[in-house]
Amino acid sequence: MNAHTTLALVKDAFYQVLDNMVFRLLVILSIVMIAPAFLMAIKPEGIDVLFGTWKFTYADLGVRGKTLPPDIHVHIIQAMQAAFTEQVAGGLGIMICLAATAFFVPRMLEKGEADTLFSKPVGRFVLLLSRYTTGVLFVGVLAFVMVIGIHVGLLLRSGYSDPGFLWSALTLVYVFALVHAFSTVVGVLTRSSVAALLVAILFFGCNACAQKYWVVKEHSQEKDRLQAAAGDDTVSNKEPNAWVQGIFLVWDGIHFVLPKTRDADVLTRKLRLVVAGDSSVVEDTTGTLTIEHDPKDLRRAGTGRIVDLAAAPATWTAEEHGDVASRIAVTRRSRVFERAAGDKVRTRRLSAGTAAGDFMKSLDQQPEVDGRPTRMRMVGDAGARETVKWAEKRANGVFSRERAFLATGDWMYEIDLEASPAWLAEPGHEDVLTDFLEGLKPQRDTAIDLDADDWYERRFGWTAPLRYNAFFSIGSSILFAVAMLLIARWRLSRIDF
Amino acid sequence: MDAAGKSARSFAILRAPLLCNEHQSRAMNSFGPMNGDTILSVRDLRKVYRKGMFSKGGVAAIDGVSLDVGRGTVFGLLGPNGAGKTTLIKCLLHLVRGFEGEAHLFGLPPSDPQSRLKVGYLPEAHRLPGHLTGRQVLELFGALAGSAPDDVKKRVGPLLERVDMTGAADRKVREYSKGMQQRIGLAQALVNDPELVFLDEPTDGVDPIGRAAIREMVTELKRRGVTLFINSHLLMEVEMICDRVVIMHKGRIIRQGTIDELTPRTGAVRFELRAPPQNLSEIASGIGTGLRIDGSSFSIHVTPTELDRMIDRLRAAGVSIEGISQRRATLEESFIGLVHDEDRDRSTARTVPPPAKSKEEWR
Repeated sequence: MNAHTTLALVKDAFYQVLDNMVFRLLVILSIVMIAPAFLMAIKPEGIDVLFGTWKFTYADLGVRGKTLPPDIHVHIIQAMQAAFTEQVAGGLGIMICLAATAFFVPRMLEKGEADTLFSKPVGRFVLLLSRYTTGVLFVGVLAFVMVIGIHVGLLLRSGYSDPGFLWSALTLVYVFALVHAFSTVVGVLTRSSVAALLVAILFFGCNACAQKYWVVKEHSQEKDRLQAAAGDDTVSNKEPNAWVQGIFLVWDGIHFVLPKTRDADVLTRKLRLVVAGDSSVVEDTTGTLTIEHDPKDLRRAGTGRIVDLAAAPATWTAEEHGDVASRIAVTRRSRVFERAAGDKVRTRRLSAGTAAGDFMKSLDQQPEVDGRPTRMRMVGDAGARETVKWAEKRANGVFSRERAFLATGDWMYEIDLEASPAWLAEPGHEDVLTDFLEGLKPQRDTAIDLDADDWYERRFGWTAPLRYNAFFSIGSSILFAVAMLLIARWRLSRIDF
Repeated sequence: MDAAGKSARSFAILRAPLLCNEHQSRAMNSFGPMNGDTILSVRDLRKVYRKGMFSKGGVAAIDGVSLDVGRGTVFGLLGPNGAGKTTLIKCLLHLVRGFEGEAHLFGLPPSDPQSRLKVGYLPEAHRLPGHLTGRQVLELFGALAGSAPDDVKKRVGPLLERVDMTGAADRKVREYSKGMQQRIGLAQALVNDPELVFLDEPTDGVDPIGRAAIREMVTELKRRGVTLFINSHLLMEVEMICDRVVIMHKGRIIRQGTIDELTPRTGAVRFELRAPPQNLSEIASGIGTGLRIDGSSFSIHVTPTELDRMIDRLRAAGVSIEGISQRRATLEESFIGLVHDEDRDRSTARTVPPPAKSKEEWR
């Protein structure tokens, strides 16, 4: 097959797609998805719609609270991007793309059309491959137009640029290529557009379900193992019976063979991270805590992103007239201790609440404490946090003090904060301490701490063991698509038109 | 003699030189090059369609066919429905696989795509891509046939003109009438400037004017030395166009030859008269048999001696003769007779219906 033939086949597929109603719907959908990026400007102060026609602050939109992060617009944009890649384009979009291309192969094999086409001096598999790749190419073009359109729109109107988002286009095409291979083989086997479409959509859904529940199974097994190891009596320490083991084995087999379409979202995030890099200012690798940003107007003592907070605290200070006006220190210690229970000695972990309670008691003994300390529990993205607040009399005034306790894994993080009344009274300093606490991200990564999807995302990586390995996920999925195309080739070579 | 008797006699004459046993039939299946070198060759081709995926038995669509077609020949393939004509073409074009025996196009096996490089094909009941315009169809199939885009573009205009589709060239194929689709289908079969063209029912759905145009095209292609392989149920058309004809029945070739070989003389002579005499029966009495008067002409079975006597008698009676011609069997008559005989030979227990009444065709 020469270049002219290839070009002619691509042109034919192009006309075929343009002629298709579903494709037109897809184009409209793409425009609908790109348009908001150009029509809305999402800024730190609010959202501007239709070039100033309407302006909304975040308070107008119901987003309130003292702890509103300064980069809220970034959070909103990233949430929109995630919704686009994972829900709209990754779910509905794939199905619409299938509808636009599923008829490619069956129509080529219909009696009358096949006679004319296959009598030409072009191999059957070449014609089949041309149809398959054309489908992928079209979805690729559409995905890139959408993703680049949204990216440019956000850049021009909102001033936001995240090159990592461009990976979304590639992963969308990747998922479509896997499902389209299945649709192609069904098209060859049944020679029916309707069957190719319906079976492919059914496969897409069932495959996602099979993967999701495989992750749930893995998470559940790991969680039980950890709980049993921690001496949790509610969890059975026994191995499951042979039947259950057999079912798990088959399930594993199915998972390894099927294309891992659900991994695409995780892959996108991993790839985005590769492009964006890690934006945190401090990372405590032993305890896996990251600090997203330095506190406003405070200067870090010492440098280096990777630290060991058990050995030396990370400290930020602000000075006024040579005195410390504000200070933040973060430390880590073990929260594991042993307690005798009858004849046995059991390992236990100190909770943040207990640590905060013990600390409050210790404050009672300190004469410089002014008034009664208060304690509060906050639950956020970073998990539960216990904070004790009190006032401390010093020579240069009554300082505001806080100590936050954050428990993760075997570690307890303590964040000690202090600020002079003068410093706190300065504009913009009121919420500095709270904002800093919000920026703490403990990397909870055990099956006990995380839900199944988050746990799997943590396990999944380029150097992870085989069952969670990104290369294996991609390789086995591509192998599946190749196997599908080879089955289609085998069947096609045996059709008498 | 009544009509049925005349008809039966006519077929008895027709069949006599055509009947052959299986051995003779197989021997006749193989032809040497007829006009230049052989570009299509088939040896003992056999294709069995399996009844089911796991069934060993099946239906033999082609059963031991051997054939050679020389360059520049217009070859007619005849046969009743299910005779294996289309399957034979599809085997040659690699649309049907898994056959036994040998087949070659331009010396190459059908499995080699290069064998189809200089081949055009208009399938029966073809369906061209409805999303393309007529022009785009020709450009697509030209490119698929391996022609360079510039060559295709040069050919498309004249071809559209030739099939009278220039005006509708930029309309979508799905908007075409059946006749228009057939014409654009024919154009796609010729877009790669082929040396061998398979036309499966080329005039199907085409009006009489269109049919005449297609015949004219075929004649022109023949003049240019293109080999044509025509499969048609319209026997008159085949008779008018083809140099050689193969008649297939139940997967086998039962007869092949030139039109003259397949349409033998019936022994009847037709006289065209200026003014028919009232006593024509009296004039012809005692000469020949089967006198049949039809207006100003009549036909009669006579020997050469009797023909001279008949002319003498007519001249003696003062009758002015405008023309004399020998009557030949039509291709349709030959075809029906052969198929009928083949059926009778294969199944003697079966009652064979009488052949259709012969049509008066004069050559």
